[in-house]
Amino acid sequence: MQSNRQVDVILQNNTQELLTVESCQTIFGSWAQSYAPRIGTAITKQGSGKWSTVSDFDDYQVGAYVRLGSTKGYIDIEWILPKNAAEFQHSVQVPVDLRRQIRFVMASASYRVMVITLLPAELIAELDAMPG
Amino acid sequence: MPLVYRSVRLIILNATNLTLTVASAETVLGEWTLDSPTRAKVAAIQPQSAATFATQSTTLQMPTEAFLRLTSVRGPVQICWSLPWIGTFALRCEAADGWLADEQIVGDDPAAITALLTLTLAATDR
Repeated sequence: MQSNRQVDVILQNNTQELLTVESCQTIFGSWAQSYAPRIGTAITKQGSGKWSTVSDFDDYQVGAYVRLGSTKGYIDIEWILPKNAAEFQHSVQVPVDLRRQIRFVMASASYRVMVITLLPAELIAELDAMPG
Repeated sequence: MPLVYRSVRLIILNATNLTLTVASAETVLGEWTLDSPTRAKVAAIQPQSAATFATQSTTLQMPTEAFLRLTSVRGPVQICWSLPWIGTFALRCEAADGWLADEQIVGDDPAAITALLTLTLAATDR
């Protein structure tokens, strides 16, 4: 099976929060083998997780969402890489006490890697307050 | 070994010369950890000593909550704690007149709390 579209999502948890996968679903395509989220699994504090979606052989789009719980609230991650790869969409929503940074690595138009770094809000505030 | 989603370790330091008898101890949500004194049927906290009570939740979206009631010749001490799925840890200590309770949260792990509760008697009651 050839994957015409692929999106990998890497979540780096740079907080003390235990993140638990509470809900996940593909919108288009399928989870890649070994990189499917499982409800109830956890990303430990300062740990990381990776999920990957690949398009099915008769379709050329991928999309999924993952919902993670923490003591601060829910983290919702959603991505869609449609047939027109230029129309890639993503959304990462975090609770007020957390912040996120998103970086994209584009291996090709049809294969994207989204790297999300989750940070405590107070750390961002401290960095902002630093001179220079 | 199930994944522990939420856990609380409460260390009670009995900084008095009285014996604190564990009159009742129940989890409201979650369960006692295997090494918690309530499993070992610890019946009392001896003078000038400490005991650790620990509860946990191994079920997704389940908080952990428990209470203890300690009795002594100077009246009862009731301790309740709650670690919600989303939200912050809460510890409440209600005691008879003369008891002093100092609460301290140790560490910065919001899903696995360690708390130290020091129980003393007011100077006039020592």
